[in-house]
Amino acid sequence: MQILSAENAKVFSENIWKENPIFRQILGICSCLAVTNLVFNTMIMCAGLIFATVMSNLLVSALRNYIAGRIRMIAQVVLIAVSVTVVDLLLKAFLYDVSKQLGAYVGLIITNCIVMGRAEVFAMKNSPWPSFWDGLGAGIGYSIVLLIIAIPREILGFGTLMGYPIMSQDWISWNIMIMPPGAFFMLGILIWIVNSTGKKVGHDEK
Amino acid sequence: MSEIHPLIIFIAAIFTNNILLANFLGMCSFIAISKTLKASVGLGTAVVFVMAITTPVSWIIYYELLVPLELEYLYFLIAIMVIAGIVQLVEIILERYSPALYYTLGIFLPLITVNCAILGACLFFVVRNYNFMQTVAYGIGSGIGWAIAIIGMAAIRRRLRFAHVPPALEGIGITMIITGIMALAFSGFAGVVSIQ
Amino acid sequence: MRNYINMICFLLLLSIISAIILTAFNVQTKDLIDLNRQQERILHILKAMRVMSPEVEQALKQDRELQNMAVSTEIEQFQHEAKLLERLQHHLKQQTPEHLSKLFADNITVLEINPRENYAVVLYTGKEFVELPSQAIDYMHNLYIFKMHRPDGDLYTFEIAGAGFWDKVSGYLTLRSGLRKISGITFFDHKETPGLGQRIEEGWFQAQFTIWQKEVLKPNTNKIALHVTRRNGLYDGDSQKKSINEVDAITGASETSRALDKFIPENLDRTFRILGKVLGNESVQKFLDPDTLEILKQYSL
Repeated sequence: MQILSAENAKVFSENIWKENPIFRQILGICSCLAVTNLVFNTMIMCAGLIFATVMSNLLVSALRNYIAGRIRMIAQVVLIAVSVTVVDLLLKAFLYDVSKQLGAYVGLIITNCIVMGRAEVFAMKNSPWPSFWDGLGAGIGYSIVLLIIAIPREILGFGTLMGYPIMSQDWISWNIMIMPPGAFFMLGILIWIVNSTGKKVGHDEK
Repeated sequence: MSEIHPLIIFIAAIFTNNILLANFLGMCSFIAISKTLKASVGLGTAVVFVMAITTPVSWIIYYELLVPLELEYLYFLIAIMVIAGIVQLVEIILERYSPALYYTLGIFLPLITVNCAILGACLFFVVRNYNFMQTVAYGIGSGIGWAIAIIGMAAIRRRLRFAHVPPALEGIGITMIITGIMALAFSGFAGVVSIQ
Repeated sequence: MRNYINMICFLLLLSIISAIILTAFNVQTKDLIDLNRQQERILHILKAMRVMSPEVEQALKQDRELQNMAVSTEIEQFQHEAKLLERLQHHLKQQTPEHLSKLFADNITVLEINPRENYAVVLYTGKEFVELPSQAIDYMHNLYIFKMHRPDGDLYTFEIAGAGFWDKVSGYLTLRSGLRKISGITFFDHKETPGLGQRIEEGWFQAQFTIWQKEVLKPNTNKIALHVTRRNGLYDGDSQKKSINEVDAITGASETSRALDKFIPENLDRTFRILGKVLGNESVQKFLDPDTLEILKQYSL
């Protein structure tokens, strides 16, 4: 079995653009807002999210035949919460500095609709290996959108990019871009641009 | 324990410290369901109900069970289970008594389980050291605040149907921008009342 | 009906297994995590009190970012102070935990008050304190005050903690003898919004307290009040012209700023009251210098 069969590759790549979690399903907005005012923080959050989505997809997929219909949401949430908490504890014990960076995001990752959404829609109906690729794709798709939002926010809001000053000394920062409403505006504008290219955002909500 | 009067917390939780517009919790369903007014009212009511019950129950479990036994680390897990249980209850009631609403809400009813707002409310009262009455006031207030926000947004989106919105911005795009404006408006309330 | 019972059994099983897994991990990692936390606290106490070993001083002298800063105008001095605080934290972090523990042991004495056991007082030397097992140091319930003796006046460091916008914010506040003037401040644990509330960690925010010798008492009174208010000046932290017990808030982070405004005085008030209760204790009288003892007498009424 090659490492990436045609189907799995399709599953992976679709999640990045065509079925992108933010554009297609409008999921995962909450965390999107607070985090994206600094590119560096966005990367950390995205790394955590990719990891959590992949792990949760694997776990849910492995147990999918034992989880009855009605209680699937609760079961998924419990599995996600436990795995993310365990990772958080391990980080605090062995990589304390990294855990400090991620600390604020742990709660945001656990309740992130994307993790739940992928578990519900894909992992419950597919075997672990495709679910792995689905989770990875969704996570990466989400990260790309977040980074696209974060870059203008940091440049306009702080005048820096990844901490390096980009704007001149006299630049007066656009505080609105640092605050959460700025994220909304950026996301709205981004959706405007994406829609103008022909791809319909939020089309077909299942 | 903090000494702010529960009534103040109640009013603040609705207006000045609105859990959706000031803390930005509970956005996913907010954006999706506010398309129809009827569904928003339904979801809003469900959330009020769930929040009003979950926060006091979590308080009791946290302070009467987990703290004396030094099991605080289990709180997150237990809060999720309590929320899930109550949402399940609401689902059953709705399916029985209002099937139309049940189908309109679709996946977003069980998604109340992961609604960041409810989990957030359960975590906030721990950090802010609220006593029981304050928690009750906060739970009901937050729920009503969330409901008002989503109903407000649904009402605005309804009006938008008659406004001239650029085609590419219709739907989600303009909703985002309006949410941004609403959030900006509510950030003017920040600090008016201190409830922590 | 049978379905329901099956589901509930499954859920019960899942919750019990989850609880067991969480408990197992918690027990295994507790000691390590406590140790990490303890080391972090020691670092921040040293930073707040500006305790430096020769290695740290040397590193600061050779620090390229600090060297090239002009210090002629007020703004430049402020920016230098802000940078100094950040670099000090950085260089302290570069040292090994043993080095920091020794630095702590050599310079600091610790007073522990246990309100739950009738305000029992224990006085530790720095060495005894760092050698306590981390479980024995109960920051949740006991009160700890750290002192550094200096010829030009003792410094006392108090813990400050309270509810921030998202979660608990914890830090240290260092006051000079007389408990009026601020000598240092630092925050080591918080979950505030990155880019907004998280800026309490930044040098400029903390420098305001130290470079202009802000006070924790209302001018001309003995009432504890520290205000974090809207920025009036030209740059972040331009609070020199503000009242002596007032500093700039963080633009866009009103809730975090208001939280600090509220809990710093509350913490100090609580600590001073408890100290007031134990002034008669021999260890306390050895710990505090005469000026400070005098000021605290008003809290024992």
